[in-house]
Amino acid sequence: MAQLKLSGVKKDFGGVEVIKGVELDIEDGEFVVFVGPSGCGKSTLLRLIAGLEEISGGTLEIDGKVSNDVPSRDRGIAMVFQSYALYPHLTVAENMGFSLSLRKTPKAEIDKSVLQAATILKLEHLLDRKPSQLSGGQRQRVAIGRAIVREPSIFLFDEPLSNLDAALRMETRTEIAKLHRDLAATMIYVTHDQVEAMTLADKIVVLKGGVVQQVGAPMELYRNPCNAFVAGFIGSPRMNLLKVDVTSVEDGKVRLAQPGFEHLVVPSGRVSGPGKALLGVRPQALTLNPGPHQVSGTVTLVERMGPETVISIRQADGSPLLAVLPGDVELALDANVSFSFADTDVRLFPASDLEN
Amino acid sequence: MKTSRIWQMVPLLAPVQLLLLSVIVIPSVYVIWLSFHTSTFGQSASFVGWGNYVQVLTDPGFHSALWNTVVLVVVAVHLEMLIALGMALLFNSGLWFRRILFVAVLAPYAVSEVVGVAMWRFLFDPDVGPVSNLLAALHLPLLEWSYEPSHAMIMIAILTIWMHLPFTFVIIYAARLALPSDLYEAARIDGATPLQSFYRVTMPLLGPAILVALLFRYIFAFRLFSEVWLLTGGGPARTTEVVAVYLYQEAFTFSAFGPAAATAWIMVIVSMLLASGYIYLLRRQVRNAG
Ligand SMILES: Nc1ncnc2c1ncn2[C@@H]1O[C@H](COP(=O)(O)OP(=O)(O)O)[C@@H](O)[C@H]1O
Ligand SMILES: [Mg+2]
Repeated sequence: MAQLKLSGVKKDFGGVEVIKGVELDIEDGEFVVFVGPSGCGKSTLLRLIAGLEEISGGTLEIDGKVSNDVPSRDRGIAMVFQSYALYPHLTVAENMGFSLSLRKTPKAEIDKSVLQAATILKLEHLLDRKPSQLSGGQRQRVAIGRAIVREPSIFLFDEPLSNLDAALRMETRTEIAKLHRDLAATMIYVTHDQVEAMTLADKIVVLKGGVVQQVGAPMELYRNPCNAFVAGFIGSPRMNLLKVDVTSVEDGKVRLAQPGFEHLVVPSGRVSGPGKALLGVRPQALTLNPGPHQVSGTVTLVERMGPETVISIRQADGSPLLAVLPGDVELALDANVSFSFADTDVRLFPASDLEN
Repeated sequence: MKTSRIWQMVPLLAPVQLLLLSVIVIPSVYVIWLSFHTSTFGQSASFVGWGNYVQVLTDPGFHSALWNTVVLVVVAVHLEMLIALGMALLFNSGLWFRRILFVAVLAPYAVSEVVGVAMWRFLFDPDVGPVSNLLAALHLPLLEWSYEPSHAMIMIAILTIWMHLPFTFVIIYAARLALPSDLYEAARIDGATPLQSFYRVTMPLLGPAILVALLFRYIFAFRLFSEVWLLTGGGPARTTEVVAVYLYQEAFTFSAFGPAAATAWIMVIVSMLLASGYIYLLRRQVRNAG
């Protein structure tokens, strides 16, 4: 159990700034997920917390103590690597007990801790195997077991599920969630998969280009994304962002020039004046029922899943649009369709959000 | 198909086998045959059974050559391994001017043995050699390798280490480079000090590479010839002779081809014993790791 405070944390690699001043508070026992596209600096931020990289600027406090220069082994952390990083020459039991054996813990005590962790992860029958004799999923559990044995106050996970197949990924995800409930430790988890972020996190940190975009509970980010990037990243399938022209902003309400949106009045959000903007509509907010606000185009793809149908259309200006309709819907390819949506289901963002 | 046509086709079907037959199998068989005969120039060979082997194995000259060889193998190869290991770890830990140093370390392998020995003879020449002069200026003991047998042995050991270090170094360095860095990060988080990482992660994982390098080097070193021949010629007074030099002397100084052939086979058998012992260890290790 530990709390963390990052203040203005920066990291540059040979002059290239990769983490650009991160402010973040992590509470005791919280499950925090860093999410963002590949290369945004998630792993680097995690490695700064782990002490595997040196912090170039700002401070990292663990339990109120500035820990920038505290070596990894004294930070009370354990880390699960994407590649598992199991010691190939040691058995599963030796891998899990490695940290204790370094501390010259008596053998009986090591065996007890290892067995305890192995029982939680159902690894008892594999204790004498070498990592090379295990499947990917089993290796992953051993890596988690090795972390548990250390009894850390902070668990760090770097994309732990990305090398597993879909079924195993879901199973292990459930297990990690259960582990968090049972151990009540602080967990920081890195992923590029927003589904993992949504399902596991108490708190999601959305990163882009080394900058924190938004921090909040999963549903908070889903309902109130602060910018078009977060809006597009959280939620599946991704939110439609329609290019629109703002004609006027009055009393925090915006009017749009687009045909079909003449009657639409949306909160201006961060849009301050007339010009280009992005109108965010979740695919699930679109319906085939007629309504005052319309988007239309020709059907390019129909994916019938059973409980829902995902329809891709191309609008008149060539831009794509995605709609998710409940139940099974039959639509012919190249048919013209119109979807409508409610005023309350849309969100406006400045066009500059998606630049750079 | 006619038999003669089959015989015309055999060379095309089995080039590798034919090559092996002509350059290894036939000469080996001839040497075996020779080792059971007395033979010298201008005299037809006559069968003597195990006589040549008995003669070689009871010859004090052979005993001393064998002893010298074993001492050189044990000292030089292990010292060389320690140096190579240290250098590989140094290179891996991020050295300045790594590329230039890498070339410098590998250079001895590109130098002809004769040139290399000539260079060292000059450097350590008791009268004009720069190293000898330097040692003298620092009031350090000189290497009197041209007449002091133990100094000559030290000189041979230094020379053979210098010549073969690139081989050992490259094997160990390549093996070290192949170890994933995240293992070391995991060890750091697990609480390992750098020294513990070395003993508990690096060493066990470099084990197979060290074993392979040692095996090759034992076999090479057992056949040690040019360093000794070019430096001391086995002298002074045959005191630094090694087995390969003994063989050469028997064959070409004393024209005793029978004992020379027997010596050659003794060397092959010792090399094979060394090799099989190590292959056994290696297989056990691979099985354990697997
Ligand atoms: N050791 C390093 N040296 C130089 N650049 C690095 C290093 N590690 C990461 N980077 C750069 O930092 C950026 C963020 O990397 P990373 O944190 O691994 O991204 P993510 O985990 O979000 O995919 C990338 O552009 C990457 O190229
Ligand atoms: Mg990463």
